[in-house]
Amino acid sequence: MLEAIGSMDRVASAVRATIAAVMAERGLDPVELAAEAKLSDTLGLKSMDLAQIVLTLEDELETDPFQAIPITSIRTVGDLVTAYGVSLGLIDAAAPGAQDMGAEMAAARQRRAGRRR
Amino acid sequence: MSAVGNANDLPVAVVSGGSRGLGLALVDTFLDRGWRVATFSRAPSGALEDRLAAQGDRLIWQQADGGSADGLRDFARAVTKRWSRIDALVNNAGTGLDGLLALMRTDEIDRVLDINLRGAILLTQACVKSMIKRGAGSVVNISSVNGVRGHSGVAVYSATKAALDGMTRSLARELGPRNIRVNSVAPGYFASEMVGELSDEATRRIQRRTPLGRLATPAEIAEAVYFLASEKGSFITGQVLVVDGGLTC
Repeated sequence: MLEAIGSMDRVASAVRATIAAVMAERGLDPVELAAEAKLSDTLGLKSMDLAQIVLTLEDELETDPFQAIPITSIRTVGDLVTAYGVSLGLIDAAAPGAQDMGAEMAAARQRRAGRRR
Repeated sequence: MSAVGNANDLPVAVVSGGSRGLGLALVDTFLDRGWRVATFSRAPSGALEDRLAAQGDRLIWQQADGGSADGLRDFARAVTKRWSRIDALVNNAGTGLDGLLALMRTDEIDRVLDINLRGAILLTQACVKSMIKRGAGSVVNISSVNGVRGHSGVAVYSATKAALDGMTRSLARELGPRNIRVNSVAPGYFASEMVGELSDEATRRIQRRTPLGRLATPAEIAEAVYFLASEKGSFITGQVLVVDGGLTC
């Protein structure tokens, strides 16, 4: 559990650092990246900014949650952290706040298995 | 060679289907301008093996099928892992299919859609990831005059090429704000295996209808592609450049 908390800390740090870097690159004012901060409304990020964040995190965390989870379900900084936590198996997909993502990932796994058959 | 200095600074071009024909001419054109080139095909030709032996680290080839999603993603991943950048992508891999649509087999249609369209879309998706991160790049889709004008007997092939032109325009708008340009080159008839399958009379008829009175060479098409892919075409995006000796004018 301690290791998992440590790993989620790392995931949250990586997500926040990447968001901050992209905001700086876009010339957006730095703000506190609270979990409930909305990526679009609060932080002023556009969809292509989110793509850049996801592509950078794909390199850093070696996973792309959005082959399974719809990117449109991500609204806040916390949603993004949770998506990576679920994708990396660090958060129980049935935990509060992650059920939808867990269900989406399970359905995507089933679809992929069906295509392989 | 125009680009010199540290090998890691040399721009990188990805060319799909670079073992023969226009693909091989594209490989040569980018190499001649000092670029590094990564290409794939189902099998290497003797001519490509000669280039691989001569170019050392500036040219890499990988076995991949243009219709395989996993193969294309693995290829793009291998390129970015090795060279950390992709400056230009040329979606050249393609296959022809002649005949009356009413008589075509479904598996033949699927094969052309997979290689000419689905493969190009998936390879583009994989390569623009690197371009978005760097905030620069260009994509050139090899279309065809058959995507611009109607011709009997090539309905499926034409559909894939017109679809590529549609992708060109939409992606140009999507990626322009990230300094990534997207264009199409629509070649007319040039000396290639596809044209080699035409009868002598059909070839003569094309030449008669072409204001410049001849077929193009692959190198002439490759020059137009290089123009759009490189900084020479730095303010051109979302366009279809027809290179056909005037056939469609």
